[in-house]
Formats: sequence, C-alpha cells, structure tokens
Amino acid sequence: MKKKLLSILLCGAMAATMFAGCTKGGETPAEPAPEQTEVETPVEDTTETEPVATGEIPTDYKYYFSLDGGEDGVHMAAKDGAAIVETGKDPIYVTGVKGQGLYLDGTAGAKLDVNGVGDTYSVSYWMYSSRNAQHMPTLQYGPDVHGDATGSEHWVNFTWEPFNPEDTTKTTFPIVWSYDQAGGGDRMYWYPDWIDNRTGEWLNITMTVDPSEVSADGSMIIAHLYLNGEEVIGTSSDGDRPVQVVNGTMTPSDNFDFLLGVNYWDTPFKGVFDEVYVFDRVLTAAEAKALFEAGDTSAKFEAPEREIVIEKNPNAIETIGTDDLSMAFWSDWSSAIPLADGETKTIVLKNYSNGGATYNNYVLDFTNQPHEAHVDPNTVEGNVEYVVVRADEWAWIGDINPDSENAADYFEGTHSWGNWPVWQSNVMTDATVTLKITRNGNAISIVADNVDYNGESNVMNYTVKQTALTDADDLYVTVLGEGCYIEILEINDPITPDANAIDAIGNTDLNCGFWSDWTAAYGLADGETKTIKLNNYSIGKEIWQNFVMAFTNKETAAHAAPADQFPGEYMEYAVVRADGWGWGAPEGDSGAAADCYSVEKSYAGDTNFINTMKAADVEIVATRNGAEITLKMTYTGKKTGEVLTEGYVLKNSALAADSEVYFFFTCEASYVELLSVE
Amino acid sequence: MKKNKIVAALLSAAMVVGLLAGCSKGGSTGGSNGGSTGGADTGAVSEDGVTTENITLTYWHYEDETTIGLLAEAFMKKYPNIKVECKQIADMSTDLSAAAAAGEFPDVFSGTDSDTALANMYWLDITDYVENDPDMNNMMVSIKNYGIGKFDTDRWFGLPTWYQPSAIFIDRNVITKLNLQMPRTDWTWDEMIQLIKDATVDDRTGMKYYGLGYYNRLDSLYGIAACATAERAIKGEFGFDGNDFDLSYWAIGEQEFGDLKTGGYVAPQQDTQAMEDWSGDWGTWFGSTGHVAVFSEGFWSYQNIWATDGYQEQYGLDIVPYVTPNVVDEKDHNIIANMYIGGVSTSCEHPYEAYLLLKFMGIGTEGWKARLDIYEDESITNASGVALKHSNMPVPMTLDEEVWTRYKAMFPTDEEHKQYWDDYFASITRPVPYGWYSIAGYWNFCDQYFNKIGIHDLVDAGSAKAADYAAEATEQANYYHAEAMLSYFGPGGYDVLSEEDLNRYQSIVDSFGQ
Repeated sequence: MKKKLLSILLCGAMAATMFAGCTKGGETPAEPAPEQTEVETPVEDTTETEPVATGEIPTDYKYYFSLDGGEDGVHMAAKDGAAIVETGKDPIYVTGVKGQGLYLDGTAGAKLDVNGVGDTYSVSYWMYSSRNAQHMPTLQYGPDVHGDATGSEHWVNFTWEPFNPEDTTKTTFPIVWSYDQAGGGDRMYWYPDWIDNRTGEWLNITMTVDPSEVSADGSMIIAHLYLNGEEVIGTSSDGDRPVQVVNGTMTPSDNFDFLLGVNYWDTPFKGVFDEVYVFDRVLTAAEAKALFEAGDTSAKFEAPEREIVIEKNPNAIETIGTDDLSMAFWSDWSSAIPLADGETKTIVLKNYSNGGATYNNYVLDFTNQPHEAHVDPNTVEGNVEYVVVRADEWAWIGDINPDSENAADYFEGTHSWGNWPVWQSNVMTDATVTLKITRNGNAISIVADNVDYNGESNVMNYTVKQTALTDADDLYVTVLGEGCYIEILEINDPITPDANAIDAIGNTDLNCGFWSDWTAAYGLADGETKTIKLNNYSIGKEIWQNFVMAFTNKETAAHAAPADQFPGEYMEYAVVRADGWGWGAPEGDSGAAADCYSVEKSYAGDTNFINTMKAADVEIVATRNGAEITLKMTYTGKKTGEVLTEGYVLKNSALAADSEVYFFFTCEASYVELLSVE
Repeated sequence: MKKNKIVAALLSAAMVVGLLAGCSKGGSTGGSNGGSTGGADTGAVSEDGVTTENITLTYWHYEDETTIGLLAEAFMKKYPNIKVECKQIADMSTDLSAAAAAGEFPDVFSGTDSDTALANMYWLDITDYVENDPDMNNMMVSIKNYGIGKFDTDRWFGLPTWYQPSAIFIDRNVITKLNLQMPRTDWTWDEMIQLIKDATVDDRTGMKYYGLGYYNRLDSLYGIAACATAERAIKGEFGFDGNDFDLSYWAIGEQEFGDLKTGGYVAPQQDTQAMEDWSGDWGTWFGSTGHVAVFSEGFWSYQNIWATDGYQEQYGLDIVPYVTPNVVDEKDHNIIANMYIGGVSTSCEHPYEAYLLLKFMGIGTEGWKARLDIYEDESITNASGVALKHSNMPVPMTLDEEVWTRYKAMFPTDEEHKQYWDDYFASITRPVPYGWYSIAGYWNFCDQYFNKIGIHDLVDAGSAKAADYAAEATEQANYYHAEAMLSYFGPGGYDVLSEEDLNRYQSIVDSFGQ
C-alpha cells in the first residue's frame, strides 16, 4: 500500500537567497594552482548579435515535451552506481514558463524517450536551477553517453564549470561540453563571456547544429547557442569562437540517452525543466527567439512540498505506529530487544516522520524486562526504565535514578548535521536509520546513522551512563516514536565466525583496510578448475567493500603481505574485486580494459549488489586455460535470498601457458571466511 | 620509477667552487655529458664571475605566469646578456620526461615532487654554490639546519623556491558572536582543539556554528607539532627526524581529527549535500559563512580570497592568522609548509648562471626585492585580471629586514589586526616542507601503501583507530625511504652516501617484512 504525505520543504525557502552568489572567491587547491595559461586573445567577433525579429514557434519538431504532466516518454531516472536506472516514481510538476514544468529534487533526473534525429539538428529547453554544482548536467544527450554499447563515450552536455579564464575559481553557465571518445581528442568545451552561474532564473537554451559548418581544422562542428533568444558567442577550449561540438551527437542509436538533470557521473540537477524540443533541422535565430518569447520568465519558482511516499516493506520485522503519522508518544512499541553487557547490536529501521517537530521520530527505551510488540513496557511486571533516548539527541533517565534531574552527569552527545530545521523537515521524514547500540557496564552508546532521501548520512553519537544499571542487570531496548511510522527492517547480532571455515580475513567489525589481510594462496594449474566457497560479510557502504581475488606467480602464505614474501619476484597477473572491477599487472592499472578481462553481470546498479553482499554465500568457479582464466561468481544473499552472478575472462600478456598461477583473497571493510577450495 | 638520466656526468666533486668569493663564480662547473664546462671556463666572465657571453636560460615553474615573467625581466635587466625563457609546468613528470626525450630540458626548474627529479637525476649537485653563497646565511634557520634541498645527504641538490606556511585563521566575528575569548597568539595545540569544541554551537534554530573548517587535515599539521624537540627532533611529516619515521605521532593527530569530524565539530565541504543542508547552497565555501570559528587553511586563502576587495565585508568576516600550534608550549617550533624545491639541471651548460637564476626566482634576497616591486604595484594584473599579490603570493624565506618590512606592509597594519600578523610572521621562521617536497621515497610510500589503505576514510567514519596502523605504516615508510635513498643517492644514483649510510639503509630494506 502506498500513502502519500507532504512534508514541509525548507530547501527553497531556506538560506538559499542568503547565500546567493556565495561561491568561494578562490579555490584552495592541494598546492596553489598555477595561474591559468593565458588564453590567446580571441579573434574579433565577426558575428554581430544584432536584434533578431521574433519568428513563429516552429511546429515541425521531431520531439516535443511540454512537461505539463501526463505525457508519455518521461521517465524519472537516477544514477545507481555506473548505471542510470528508472526509479518508477511519478514525475512532479510545478509552475513552469508555459503551463507546468518538471521539478527535479536533486536526487534524480528524467530520461526522455528521444532518439537521435541525425547530424543536422536543434534542441531547445527551459530550465530554472536552484543548485550550482560543477559538472552538474542540465540536458545531456548522445548516441552512447556512457559508452556502454561501443566502449566509447559520445555526448553533449550543458553544464557549469569554472572554465572562463577570467576567473577560474567560479563556475559559470552555460558551458557546452562535448566528447567523442572513439573519435579521439579531448573533451571539448565552450564557455560564455561572462562569469555567472545563472541560478535562480529561468533560462531558455537553444542550440542548432549544422554539420556543414565546421571548424577551421575540420574536426569540430560550429554550433549556434541561443540563451533567452539571443545568440551568445563565447569561446571554445581551443580559443575558437563561437561554440563548437563534436560530430555525431544526434546519431540515432539503440543506446541513445536524452537525459534531463542526471548523468552517469555527477551531482544531479535541482530545479525545473520545461518545454523541451528536438528538431531535425537548424532553427533560425528568429525561431530561437520565438521559443524564448513563448515562455513566461516571470513564472515564480516554488519548490514543491516534498512528497513522501510510504512504501510499506513486506519484509519488515515489526512496525510501530500508523502510516498516517499520527502516532502519539508512548502509544506503540516494538518488542524488547535484548542487549547483553559488552554486546553491540545493529538495528536497521525506516523512519517516516510528519516533520512537525524534531521529536517526531523514533525513540529508544531501555528497560530490564522482555515484552512482546505493541505492549506498553510500563505494564510489564518488574519493569525498570533506565533511560530513554530520542532521535533528536535528547534523553532522560528513568525514575529509578534519583539524580535524573541532573542530566549533565549522564549524557554526552554530538551530531554531524548542521541545520536542525532541515534535519527535521527533510532528513527524517524519509530516513533509513542504522542504530549501533553498545552496552558496556552502565554505559549505553548509540551511533545513529540517519541516511536521508539524498543518501546523505546524518550521524548522532550518544552515550548515557546510568549508575543504577549494573553488569548483572538484564537490558532490553524497545523502539517507539511520535508523529512517525517506523519499520524495523533488521536486527543484527554480531557476526558469529563459522567454525568450519578454513581461514578468515578481515574482522567482524567490518573495518579492515584494503590489502591488509590475505588468505594463503592456492594453485591453479593449466586446464584445472577449482570451486571456491566463501562467506562474505560487508559493511555495505561501497561496492568495493567485499572480498578481492588476486592471481599471482607465487604460493604466498596467509596473513602476511604477499609482495613482501618474495621481494623482487612476486608478480600480480590480475586482481578482481567482487563488484566487477579489477586491474592487471604488470601492465599496470588497466581499469576496465577489455584486453585484460571482460565482465558479465546479471544485475545493474549498485544498490542490489551492496545489499546482497552485506551477508552473502559466495561460490567462485575458476578455470584456467593457458593464458586465460575464467571466473564464474554466484552471490546468494543470506538474508535477501537474492542470487546475483558475474563472469570474467582474465587475459594477461605476461601470463604464459606454463606460468605458475596462484590465487588468494584479500578484502576491504568486510569479513570473509574461506569455506572450501576444491 | 624509472631512471632517465639526461646527462651521464655529475661533476659534483669536480664542481669545486672553493674559490668563490662572495657570490661570484670562481671555478669550473659540470656541463653536458661531463665533457664541457660552463660558460665561464670557455668564455669571458665579468668580475663577478658571470659569463659576459650572450646566453639563454630556460626556467620552468609552477607559479603565476605574469609574476614569473616580470621577475625574469628583472633578472635580465641585471644580467643583460642572459636571456631567460619561462614556462609554466602542467605536469612535472610528464613535462620533464618529454623534455628529456626531446633534448629540450630546462636549465632550471622548480617542482612539487622531488622524487621525480631525484629518481631521474635531473638535478645537479650545487653544494659548492650554496655553501659559498653569503646570502644563504640569511635564510630561515630550518632551511640550512635541516638542509632543505639536501634530502638527508651532505650535498645540496635543490633549494626551496616558493614557500607558504600552514596557517590557522580565526574569524573574530564568530568568536564575538559566541561570547568566547580570542586565544593567545602563541597558543598550544590543546588550546586550539578546545576552542574548536567551544565554538561548535547549535541552538537548533538554523545554521549551526562549527568550530573548524578545514582544507588541511589536522593530522598533517600535528605530525610536525607532536612533541618537544627534546623528545624527538621532528623535521618532516609522519614524525620524520632525518633518519626514520615514527607514525605514532601522526596517529594521535589523525585520531583527534577523525574524532572531531565524527563528533560534528567540522563544517561541511563545498559542493556537498551536507553543505546544501547546512547553508542552503551546494556551492557555499565554509569560509564565507560567518558560521565557522577556526580555519585550517592554505596560507593562500587569505590573500587570494579573504583579502580581496570587499570580501570580508560582504560576508561579515574578520579573519586573523594564528600560528599552527605546538603540542608543548614551545615558542620556537617548526611548522609544516608548502615549499617547492628547484634545482639546476644536470644538462645545463651554464650552471653558475643557472644557480643565480634559481636563487633570483626563488629564495634569494635580491629576487625577493624584485618580487616586492611587482607585488606592491597592484595595477599589475595577471591574465585573470587579478593583482599579483592575490595570486598565490609566497612568503619570503630570506630574513632580510627590508624585504620583511615591505612584505608585512601588504597585510593589515591597522591597530586591531597588526599584532596578529606580526605575531604570525614571527612564528613562521622554522618551516618544514611536506614530505613530498623533501623526503626521498615519500611519494612512493603514499602512492603504493598509505593511500591504498584508506585510513583517513576509516578513521573519519569512526570505523578504525589510527593507532592500529601506526606500527605497520612506520615500517613501510622507513622501507620506502631507505629504498629511495639507496636508489637516488647510492652507487647507482648520485653516489654520495657514505659506507655507513649505505649499510644502514640496506639493512632497513633487507629487514623489511621479515
């Protein structure tokens, strides 16, 4: 069941205006950046930007999106690892320059159903940006933006960069980037004559591209960019004027991307898009002006109240409160979760708040008696309340302690966030909360990581000392709340090492550094296949925080740096991470170089992978055929049941058929148990 | 790192300049391929020992192009027969390798990564010039005492060319708003940490006041300030004392900084969601908010940003400098610094003149007077239209009184601020460069070990303790240093190490990982 709620959104009303133009007046680079190389004095403009009469709004478009709502072909999409995935969420529309416009909240963009229309084309769109971030995309399109189909990126992007040499410490808009990786050359850019990020205003961007109009060396196409109906000249990265773009940016493709406010790499856009056109011809200046004049630039931008969608999780262990967020304080409770002395328990919950007050969130009640869910702890016989801790870094001691009035003796807390109204209204209305609760004698420590809808971590550290609590006392924690709805998703006991494991690397606190522990090496002879089974437990924050498999030329021992065991002789043929990334040696870091290895995955994006690998059964089938090693990985989530697969073919020119090959495992921020090698 | 010798001969011993009187050139110098000598040996020289022939010297650097261009003009005015051609380096390793391959190597270059120059033996031994140069006796004491440019040998291969000390800045307006007291200017480390904590104030109504905004991590500063000299005479990052490292000192600072971050005492960085949540604007820099008390910033942030016209007024700031404090209350302590190191190329055919150029463009008193002429004239601007003193202006390394009087005059001199600046400048006369400038093998250690373990992220996230890494990191650092010393300065390199040093470094390498 879905239920839509509204929360107060302060982002627009907040201090945005207070800091308008509050960009850093200068960078503080690692070492002072050398002054930008002087740009050759641009050739005097031959293009006069004389006033152009307004023409008719062209209607022979190939694609048009009014973005008034209810249109087909508009898909909300977000970056998930190296992929753009459709979120399935409904678009949000607000007042635009003509009817409604598509609002993007800074977490996701939109993918429009557009394919290339050929080398001669025009694009036009309106935008209002309330965020200014370097590289942040507005419109980015191309036949293979990410290079997924061809291995080579090919795109145009209208964005912000500090590329105007007049002041390379400030971003300006619009910067036109284009890149044709297969065609060679660099990412080419063009910057306007001004230094202004142009946030907080409606802008109409129209660009026309005629492939017959080429740069002096013939390598680029001279484009014409219109901002609010007037052509702007500016300068290209080579010092040429006006704007230039690479060839073929509107070539039709099965992998064509036409993205608003999102791309594969950068901070998502925040603001509004409206009136998007694609033509397969070059618009005239008069037509560009008509497109501008059709928009009402006085339209008031108002960030919408953020819509909170409560998607009830069928896998929730328990729920507290109701999804209308009307729960009164002390009206519903989880079951009591035991916490032994010296133990750390991790509880993952979803917190939906009505945002009405900082205390309208989860609350933790520490008592001495077990009880079932939805039972008032105070009704349990013999119940003693030691302490109550709220999500908003507030707590009190139970009546058992006579000094409860003297709070300072017992409480110590800090929080990472810098703005309580934002925390109340934006962060906690829709937060995934990981609570690490530790009991040491009479001290109860809570690390609460509240991750908001942006994926931003907001951490509270809180310690309470309760003198009435002794080592011998039982302690339970109950989750309750006020003005919120809570789903308890996980209650994780500490990892229990598997007694049958052959070896283990990392640690159960899941905080080992990369390349800090290693299993022993196992041989892989030519023609041989080995099946390896592992338990993989990850801290689950980044995709690389899992086991890592290395192939070398030496039979190294466990728990000692492999290279140190054979100084001058040790060589790595390849290192492969669980997430499908690796590098070869001795060629050096080859990244995803196809000649080193290839990857096939049964999944896209990072989220599913990370969740699965938090606790996963791993099976690896490794086969060596001469200079080639094939790996087939199967990851089965111990809790999720999700099954993911990956495949690799490792090739390394230094690996001969008669080379001795060994493999071992290392890891990062994880605990890996080696169960069998057969 | 591959060696790429551009000249076979290094005539350090033969480059005897024992006859040098004052700063004059009096002896032969090494030339290309070791066969020919410098211009003075084959051509006419002035009474100062400088060639009178028309020659051209190339100078490659990392500084503001306009500044260096004007400085070169001043040098050419002094030596009309010497033409100086300057080039700004984009990437040191790439540019120099390409130049070596093309036979177009610069005569003098200043760089940010000494390992590249030493591994490839790009720099000439200039010991005799340096040690017979009276101007070098008037430099900040740590330069000669620690041999910044000697790389822990007894020979000079380079000289500092560009210096900016670490700096702590305080916004007096924030201190006033929070009803706190300005600390004494010769504060200690603990006093700084306490101020950071005291100035972190959140009344739950809007933007929190953060105690610290950082560019430089505090652990970088702590490694130098970690203890009294009597305990360990630290002269480099990671507790380096000239012989070996001790990262247990670094670990204390690392942990302290990590604890400040996890404790919510440190302001968000620019271009982050946390910044947008705090200030309402993704692109805000904490230094412009008026909600941060203490800044661990680059020195350049003052002149490049805060000192620009109207900036502090616009954002309601009142920024003053503080010395990077020491853990113990020791007045004359070292401070960590950015110090580019420059040298004369082994391929240079006019090494004495090149040495004069190196001095003039960097550390030398005479060159600094020429620099001040440039910086004092604010009508001179660079390609970005910025007055040159606002474009990464360095700090003098000479102790010359005239230079310092003129230099200090470019900073606030009003009654309220002058004392802060006087105290600050008085406290920065013992600079110690970051490791990559002055410690052989430092870069390799960071690249191949330290940066790989991700310790900063782990400690900052509260998921690891820095102390747990100190012992292994110390062993690794000592290994990389010893290996580099043998490689750069052993028989396969400059060959200037004593038998004792060779044995010592070899022993460290041999025992590594045992």
